[in-house]
Amino acid sequence: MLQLKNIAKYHSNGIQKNWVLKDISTTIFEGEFVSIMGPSGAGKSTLLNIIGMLEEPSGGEYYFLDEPVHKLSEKKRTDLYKHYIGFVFQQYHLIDELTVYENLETPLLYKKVSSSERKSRVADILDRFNMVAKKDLFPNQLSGGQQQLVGIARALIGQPKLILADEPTGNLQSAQADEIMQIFKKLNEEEKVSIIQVTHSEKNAAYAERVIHLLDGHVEREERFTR
Amino acid sequence: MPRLLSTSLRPLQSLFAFQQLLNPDQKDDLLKVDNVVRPGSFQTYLHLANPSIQASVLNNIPKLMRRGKISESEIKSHKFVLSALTDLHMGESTSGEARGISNVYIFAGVALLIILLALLNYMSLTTARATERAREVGVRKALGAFRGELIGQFYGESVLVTCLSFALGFGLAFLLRPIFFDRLDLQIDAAFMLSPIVVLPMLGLMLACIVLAGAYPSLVLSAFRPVEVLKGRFLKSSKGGIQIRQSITVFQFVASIVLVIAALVAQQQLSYLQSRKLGMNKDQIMMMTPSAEGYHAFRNAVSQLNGIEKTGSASLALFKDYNSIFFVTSPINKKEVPLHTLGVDAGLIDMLGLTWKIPPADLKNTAGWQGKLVLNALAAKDLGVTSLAQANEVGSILGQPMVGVLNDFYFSEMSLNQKTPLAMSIVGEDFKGTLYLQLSKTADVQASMAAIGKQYKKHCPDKPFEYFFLDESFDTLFKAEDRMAKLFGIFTGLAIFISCLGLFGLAAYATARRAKEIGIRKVLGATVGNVMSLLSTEFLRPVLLAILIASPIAWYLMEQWLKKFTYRIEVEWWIFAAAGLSVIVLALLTVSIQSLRTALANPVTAIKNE
Repeated sequence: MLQLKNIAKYHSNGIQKNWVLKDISTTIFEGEFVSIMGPSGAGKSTLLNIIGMLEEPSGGEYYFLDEPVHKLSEKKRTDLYKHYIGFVFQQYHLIDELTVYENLETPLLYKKVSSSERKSRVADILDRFNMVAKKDLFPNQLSGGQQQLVGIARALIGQPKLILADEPTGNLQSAQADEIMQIFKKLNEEEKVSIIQVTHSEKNAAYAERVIHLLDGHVEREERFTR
Repeated sequence: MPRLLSTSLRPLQSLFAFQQLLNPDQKDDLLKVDNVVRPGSFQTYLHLANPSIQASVLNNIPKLMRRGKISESEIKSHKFVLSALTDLHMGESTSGEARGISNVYIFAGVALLIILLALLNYMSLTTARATERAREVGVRKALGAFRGELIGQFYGESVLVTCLSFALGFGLAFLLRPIFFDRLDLQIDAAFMLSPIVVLPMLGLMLACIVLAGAYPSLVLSAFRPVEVLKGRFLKSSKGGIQIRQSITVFQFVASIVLVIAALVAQQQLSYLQSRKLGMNKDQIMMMTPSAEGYHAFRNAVSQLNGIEKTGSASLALFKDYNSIFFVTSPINKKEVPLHTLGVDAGLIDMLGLTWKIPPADLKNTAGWQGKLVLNALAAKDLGVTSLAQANEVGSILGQPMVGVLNDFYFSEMSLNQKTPLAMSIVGEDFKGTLYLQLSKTADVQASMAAIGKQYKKHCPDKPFEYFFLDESFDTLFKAEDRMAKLFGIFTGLAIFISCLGLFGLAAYATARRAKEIGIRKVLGATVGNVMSLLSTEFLRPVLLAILIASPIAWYLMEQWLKKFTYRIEVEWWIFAAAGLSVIVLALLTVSIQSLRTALANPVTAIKNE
């Protein structure tokens, strides 16, 4: 699915280089479910953003579906992640001014999906997440767990091969968090969607097959669970 | 000879512009200076005990004339008009059309509108900046500031800003005054700028500005609840504020678009007035008034000169002097018609290229026209004349037979502005009025002028060589309007600039407010183009609304304005389209900087900002 070779990221203030990531190399295969763990400031989110092509690494090589991302133009990169990657955020990041329906439709608008196709895809996903009744509500009329469901539905509507989730359950109570994790697991197992999540919680991390532990910008250790 | 008076006593803004003052008893001396005394150039000023007795004064004039043993028919042929001196001062002419005063009101109105736009900008931008100030207010409140103290603080700021800008404005006005007055051809004493009539209203305006500028921001900002603000919830809770700012933007653009349309219509009307067909030829023609003694010798001499095509003579200088008017009751339709009068010779009719509507019986025998009358088509129409026989019927009343009826042509400032019936008496070779010389198109103007000047010195040595070109006299009539139009254009530009500043502020605020949303959209795959069009549509909405509101307002105002003109254009749809389109383009350019910055921003930073 994707391969990172010696990925590095630093912020420079002119004199000093502030290393966020150093020498990260790993391969993530299609259909894998990976958790990234580590204390605050370890570089988890930055790594996820680099994988999601929202940030550019300062050095190293990044291959996504055998495309050399580090050499691609911005337009090509946008095309790539638009089609293969879905994002889920801790703060859900739904658009407040749009209804649930419109929020779900937005990624399809930017992928230039035809109107009839959009309608059927949004209807499908609303059905799948049992949210048909809520399609005309605005995000602030939903509970946190429901908002995150919309967030996941929105990530899935583009039919991505990879879901990147940045602490998806960080703002949720444990029952809701479990529900979300179950959905991720099901997606991974039944639809073979690859998932990379950043998390603080050991319990949530254990839903994955592999956990990458980051410390101060480098891979401290990796562990594998056998299911 | 008349005695000369020093003119230094005359205030520059006085209506009475003179170079010499003469006692009426010295009228005979004046006649020696000028061989033509133009009738009607003496106006009588009456000092009324109170303005309400105007009507009775007018009624009494015929009685006074009777007492002066003036014949009844003579009394009937005169009409008297009273105009208040203050109206004359404000630009009203004795014929009752008031153009000067309406210009004064228009410019005062536009100036006030511009101040209002600037005030609205101040309010809108201060409250938009409230996002930054909100935290400050929250902290101050948390530290125990009362609302009154905060209101005082914000008012203090508006006082400072307003006073500074008034000081700057007054200073600039004082510095730029010479250029400004020069452009407008105004003469105003420097002392007038500092007189209470100017300074007191300015102070009043400043106070009003302070109160208005401070009111909205201080009330809105001081009302923030500290807990919400400190928690950062301010942005979401200010929907009402957004609407107010949007309405302000709409209003500003309504004002700008109305001004743009008005400027375009005014420009159209002016160019229409200047470029319409005059019905006569005004090119290559110069006018001068040689002294009576040398008149004929001079005319004969110059008509022999190379480069002089034709010569002619008239009782006055066209587009410069005023015609006198007498009233005639038509024997045909019994209508009373005010006839403007002009004496011309046959040479001038030929030179001006005037054309006949009812041609004379003998076109060639111009000598036979002498001592007869010619009407213009308007006069013929008003008098009910359709044939030469009918014309002669009118002529019999006037004591002169008719030659024919000429097609209409413009001959004076008044005839350019309203339909003016004209009766011309054809004068003979012995007439000594204003001399018209037509230079041939191929003539070397400088050489011809030198030759004419030489002849003039020879034949009229005691009168300075003064001359005017007919086309320049015509253009001069529009100079004031042209200047007004230019100034109006500048004001319009200023109003648009201020409105765009307002929109710029609104755009800055709105993009800041939507930064997170834009970030999310970009993560979801929106391109820079998507984001630009999203933001541009948002900003275009108030502008489009403004165009819809402004168009009928501007149409109505300009219809009212155009009603004053007898000769006028129709307001055409493309003017609205052009005004709307240009404002849209300007608005888009204004917001594009903000939109582009937001569209190009890294979504990660926008999303992280919680």
